[in-house]
This record gives sequence, C-alpha cells and structure tokens, in this order.
Amino acid sequence: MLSLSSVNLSYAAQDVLHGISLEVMRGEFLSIVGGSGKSSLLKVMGGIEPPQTGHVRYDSVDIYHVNDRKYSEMQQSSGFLFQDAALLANMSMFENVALPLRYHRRMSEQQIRSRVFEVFDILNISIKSDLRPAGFPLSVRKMVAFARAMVLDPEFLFLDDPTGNVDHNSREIVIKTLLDIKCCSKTAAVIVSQDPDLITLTSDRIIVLHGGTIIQDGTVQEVFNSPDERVRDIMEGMGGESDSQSMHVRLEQREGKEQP
Amino acid sequence: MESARTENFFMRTVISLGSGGVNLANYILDLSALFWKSILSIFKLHPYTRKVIWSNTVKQILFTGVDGLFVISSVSALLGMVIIIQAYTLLPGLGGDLVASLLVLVIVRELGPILTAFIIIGRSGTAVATEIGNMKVSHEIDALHSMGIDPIRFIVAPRLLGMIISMSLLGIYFDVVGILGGFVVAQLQINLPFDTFLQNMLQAIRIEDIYIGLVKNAFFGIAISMVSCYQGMQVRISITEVPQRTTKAVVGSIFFCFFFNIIFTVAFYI
Repeated sequence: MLSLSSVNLSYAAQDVLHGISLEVMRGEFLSIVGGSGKSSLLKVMGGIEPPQTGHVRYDSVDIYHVNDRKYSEMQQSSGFLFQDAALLANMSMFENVALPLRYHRRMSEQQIRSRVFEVFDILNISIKSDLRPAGFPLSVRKMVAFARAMVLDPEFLFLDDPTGNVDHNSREIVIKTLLDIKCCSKTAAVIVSQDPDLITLTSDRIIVLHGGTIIQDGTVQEVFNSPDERVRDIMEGMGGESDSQSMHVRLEQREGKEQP
Repeated sequence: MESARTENFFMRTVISLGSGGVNLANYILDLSALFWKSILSIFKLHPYTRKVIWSNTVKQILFTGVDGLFVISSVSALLGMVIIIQAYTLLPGLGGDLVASLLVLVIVRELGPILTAFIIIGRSGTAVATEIGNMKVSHEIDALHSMGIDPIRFIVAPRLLGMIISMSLLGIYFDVVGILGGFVVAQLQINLPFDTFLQNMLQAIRIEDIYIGLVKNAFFGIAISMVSCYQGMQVRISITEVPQRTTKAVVGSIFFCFFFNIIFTVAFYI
C-alpha cells in the first residue's frame, strides 16, 4: 500500500500541495484530475520530489527517509512515465528501456533483449530501436517511456498524462494495456490525465485537486455526480479526443460491460 | 556624519567579505561532498551495475581523451616551437642541453599540465555542465531517480573517473608532443641531432617531474569533473540556467586548477 500523510510541497514561496493525505491500495487505479499540482503530487508519490513536510510510505516505509540502497530497491517496484517522456538523450531507444534491467537485474544480454521486445510487443512499438530518441516524435517517445516504466514489472505505475500528445492508435493501445494490467495483475496505477476516456475506463477512484488540496476523493460515479461546483467545473472542462460520447454515457457503458 | 558613513562602508565591506567567504566555504564543502559520494558510489557497485558504469566511463575517456587528441597535439606542438623560437631570440647561443632544460621546465613542470587542463575545461568541462544541465531541465535526472538509479553513480562517478584517466594520459601526451615541437625548431636552428637531444632530455628530466605531473593532472581532472558536474546539477527548471551554470563551471574549474597548480609547485619545487 502507498500512503501519503499531511504532505506539503512548495516551490520558492508558492504553495503547490497543502496537507495531502491519501492511500492507494495494491491493484487500485487512481486518477488525479484538477488544477495545478497534479504532476508534482505524482512526483511526490513516485519518490522523485521530497515534500517539505509529511510522509510518503510504501508498505509503512517512508521512501524519503531510507538509505540509498533501500531507496533504489523501493524505486525498482515502481515505474514512472513523465509527461515529456524524459528518455535519456544519449542512449538509443532500446538502451533506454534496457537500462533498468542492466542496472538492477542479473540478466544475460539475450534475456534483456527478449524482455525489452516483449514490452515493445505489448505496446505495439515497432521502431528502429537502435536510434536515439531525438529522431522520434513525442508520441513514439512516450510509448517507449511507457515501455521503460513497465519493463521491471512494477507494483506501482505512475503515469503523467499517458495519452497526451500521442496519436489515436497509441492512445487506444495505452488504454487497452492499462485495462489488461488492471484485470490481470496486482499492479496499482496513479494516473494524471485530462483524458475523460482514460479516466472513466480505467479508474477505480478519482481525486480532484484544487488550489493544492484534495477537494473530492471518490469513485468515478461519485466524482461525476459531485454536488461541488468546483468539481463539476473541472470535470466538464476536461477535453477528450472522442467528444461524440458524453462521459456519463461512457461510464454507463463501462458499468454495463462490468456486469456479468 | 563622515565617520558614520565610513563606519557604514566598513561594515558593508566586512559583511560582503564575510558572506563571500561563507559562500566559498559552502561551495568547497559541496564539491568535497560530491567527490566523496562519487568515490563511495564506485566502491559500492553490484557486479552487474559495474558494467553499466564502466561503459559510461569509457565513453567519457573517449570523449575527453581520444577526441581531444587533435587539439592537444596542435597546442602542445606549437607551444614547444614558440618556446624554443623565443629562447633563440633572447639567447642566440643557446645549446642543446639548455633547450632540453627549458622544455622540461616550461612544458613538463608548468605549462603542460595547466594548458591541458584549460583545453579540457573548454572541451569537456563545458560539455559535461551543459549535458547535465539539459538532463535536469528535460527531467532525465528525475527519470534516473524514478528507476532507482543514483545519478551520482550513473553520471558523476564515470565522469570523475574518465576525467582523471584522460587528464593524466593527456598530460603526458602534451609533454611529449610539446617537447618534440621544441626539438623540430632546435633541429632547424642549430641542427641538433635527435640522439643528443634525447640524451640531454633524459638528463634534464627527473622522475619526480613525471609523477608530479601525473598527480597534478589527476587533481585537475578531479577539479574539472567535480565543478562541471556540480554546476550542471545546480540547474533547476529553466533552460536559461544552463549557459549561466556552464560559465560558472568554466570559471570555477580554472580557479581550482590554478589553486592546485600553485599548491603543487610550492610543495614540490620550493
């Protein structure tokens, strides 16, 4: 379980997160929507951005108060997808995905190749993987970054706008992959997104951020039917790629599919 | 009124000097901590992690050492030539033994190491600071953290090792090419045979000159890599910080190289 208690984060004099407390259970898919601070919260949860005050615990161990070795071990159980992909520019696409395996696992070259291409296959990535990231569009780089996040088979996935700036085909693959992970593994995911399809189809829970605090934490249904005007404004303000269907309709469809 | 103004000026000067001193002390402490963490990170490697770090180190050696050979060769050969040309302008009757002593004194003991350091600062120090700065801005350092990879181990330690090895070897290479450049001019001026030149050179050079040069170059490598990595790591969010930090890396590296140079000269030659 991942838990945050009374987390505060500020950059210079600006408060970004204020008194954030929440829990994410194994296998749970949590979406974060709303105003500013979503990516910062994701970084805090992912062990990248230490908060000024408060605790971030993975199974009761505070990730920001452990030694380097323990921190490295804990980070191996999570995968992080950055909004701008953040692939290492001086490594090939293949090496970017292989890096966590080379660094943390005792694997032969053959095993590494096989695992990397296995993840490439899952995400339907077919590129000249010996080229460096600079030659590829962001859409492809994000898919490769998603592959890097998945390659160690993590217990927690932290995904910052996984369907933003990706082409339609890749977007569908991301959503399908997340649904597969959700149904067939114990991996939990925390997703920052403005994509209503992704949120309604994959989330067990949504938290809504406003002014650096959580103003709503509930199921998809509860959030979409929230009496809070601020929440409604945020949910209605989210853009989607397939606007032909309303979020409520998609939600109903999903619930219909989930019924036996 | 006048005395109050003087007192004010005095106080401001003291405060300014004091804060400058504190900042410098903090800077040196930060660099020392980075150096210490880098060294520790090398010794705490898993066997399979070692391969990744060694591969990064080899890349750094290739970039700093091998790719820098052309510049180093040109500068050192020209320096050797200029030294002997100027020496003959000043002392037309200069003999072969003095040519050798002069080259050893100027190139091997002083200018060789410091000029090699300057070239490396210009080529590699700036590249390292810029590269790390850009990695910070594009969240590549955050990505390393997210994968449980220590950036000090993965980025800083290989650059430290690579710079130490490259600087030490390039320093020797600079000396050799510089001396040969000087010999070419001496040969043209007084028709100095190579055998005699070599014999004079072996008499002029002491074994201490070689190992002091090696140690000096290694320290320059430490200074350049640590200052450049540190300044690169100081970039926060904006791309405009990268050139500012790169400039600081150059100035800091030059300062520390001169500092180590004077320490070694005083310690070994006075």
